[in-house]
Amino acid sequence: MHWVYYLSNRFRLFLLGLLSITIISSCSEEHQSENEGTSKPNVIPEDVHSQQVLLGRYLFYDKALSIDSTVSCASCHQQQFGFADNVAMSLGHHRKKGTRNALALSNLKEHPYFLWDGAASGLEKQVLIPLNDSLEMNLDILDVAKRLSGNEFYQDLAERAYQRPLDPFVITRSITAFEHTFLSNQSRYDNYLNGDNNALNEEELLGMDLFFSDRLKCAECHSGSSFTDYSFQNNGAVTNYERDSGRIRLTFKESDRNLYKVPSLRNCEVSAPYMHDGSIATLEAVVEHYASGGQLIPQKSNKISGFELSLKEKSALISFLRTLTDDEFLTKEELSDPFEE
Amino acid sequence: MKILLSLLAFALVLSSCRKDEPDDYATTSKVYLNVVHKFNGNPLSDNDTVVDINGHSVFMNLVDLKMYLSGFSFDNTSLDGVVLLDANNGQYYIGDIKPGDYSKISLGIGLDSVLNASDPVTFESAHPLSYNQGMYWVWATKYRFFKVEATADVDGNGVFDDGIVYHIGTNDMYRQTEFTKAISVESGEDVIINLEVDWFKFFNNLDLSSESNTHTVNDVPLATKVADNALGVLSIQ
Repeated sequence: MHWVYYLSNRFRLFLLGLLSITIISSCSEEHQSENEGTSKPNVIPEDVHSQQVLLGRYLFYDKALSIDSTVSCASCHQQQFGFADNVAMSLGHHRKKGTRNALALSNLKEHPYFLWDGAASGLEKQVLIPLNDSLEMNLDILDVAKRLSGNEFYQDLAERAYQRPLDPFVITRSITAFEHTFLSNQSRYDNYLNGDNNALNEEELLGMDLFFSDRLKCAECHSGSSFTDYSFQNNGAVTNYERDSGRIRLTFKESDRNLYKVPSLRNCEVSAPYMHDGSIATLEAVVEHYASGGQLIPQKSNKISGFELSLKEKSALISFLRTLTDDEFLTKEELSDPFEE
Repeated sequence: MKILLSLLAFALVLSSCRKDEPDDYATTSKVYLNVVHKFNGNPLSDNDTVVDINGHSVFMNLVDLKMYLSGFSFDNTSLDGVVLLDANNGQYYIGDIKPGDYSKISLGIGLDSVLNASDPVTFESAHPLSYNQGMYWVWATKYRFFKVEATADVDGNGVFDDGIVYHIGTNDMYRQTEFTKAISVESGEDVIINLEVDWFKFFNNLDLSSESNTHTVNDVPLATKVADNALGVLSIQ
């Protein structure tokens, strides 16, 4: 006979009550941990835009936005890496591996569309994609809003900044407001453009000349202030497209097969590895790839035809790429994790 | 004299305000779609429906039906309503129209490229284009134009174990159609357009044993076929 049989009814009730309290208490703890974000700043800014940015900053770094509360936007877009990741494929919820390399983020107001295939025409819409992606955060934005509905700090900030509760509109707008503050324009190259003739040394100037030369044609795609023309190209770096056929999945046009957006080169020194699949580990290897003319892929851009570089020139080109690093941007406190303050 | 001039100026202001209002503003009529759902000519019911495919009876249980209608116009006059139909009969407001005689109704199945580029979180939750409607394809940042989901007994073993999913979207799948219909709109009187939706016609010339699943991107030819079938689904009574 089971030992419980020998207990008095009163004692059985007592045990049952104890068990219920334990269960309720553990559920409540779980809920609280999902609703982190209560590490409030000392001062809430007065102006509405700063409130929007502050709310977005907390949400960007809040792991409660993923289904198992292990991944935030910042998990794959880390400030120290130019808001990219240092692995080929970032890990999402339950350590699921993604299918594309996390793009570096900066000067996003200049970008006409987002993601490697240009799927998102606006940053506000882009916010939905990693949230919804089954390999990334896997939490529908309606569930995010529901999960955070009990967080007084978020609700208060949402009301102040948007005069409405924390809903999908507020979540997408505030994260966008924060991401729009990712301004990288204090690199040594920027300083040189702004008139500081001593900002670049001789080797870097040689590298700059090579970068913009007709011989290398880097700037045919990597042009403009963000070093991208936002076009979709195949650069012959990858031969296997079984898991990811690029922009064609959106347009169904055969001409878009295996094409990916030309990425910005700002802070490329710290945003390795490179390419849409993170298959090239270093800047040196990237230069060698372009010098070789890439692999024979039917869709490869005719702009990738290879070139010859001396060792000195190669070193100079890489040195120039490193002048695009904006140290202030990589360490700026206003962009950092507010939960660690 | 000053008082007289002030009164005159006041009267002029009032009169000019009136002129700014459209003359026919108060006389437009509200237009409603009165939608009745059918399956092969019979009222749509919760019971299993039978589809004839290549001479074989396929029993089917319709699980989820949704469809956007937009781009409404009477002759060349546009109405700006957007409707998200589900399987329930009902009335939907689609816009206002001036009095007059019209002979043609046009509409789109799905959303045109402008509506399709909408941001779903900017709409109130009850709005047809709201994210809450579950019609937004996040990965493509576009809307599904229609969803037809069912379970079927294709092999006739008595078990509804064959899933049927048609999720059709992207700008290329937008379809426009028009109906000849004499409509006389009287000033201020509501206009009711009776629209019949026969979901059976979605399955026209589809072999459910091999053409049962498309999310558009994974089978564009089938999605195109289903989108074309959608043109035959609607009729104005």
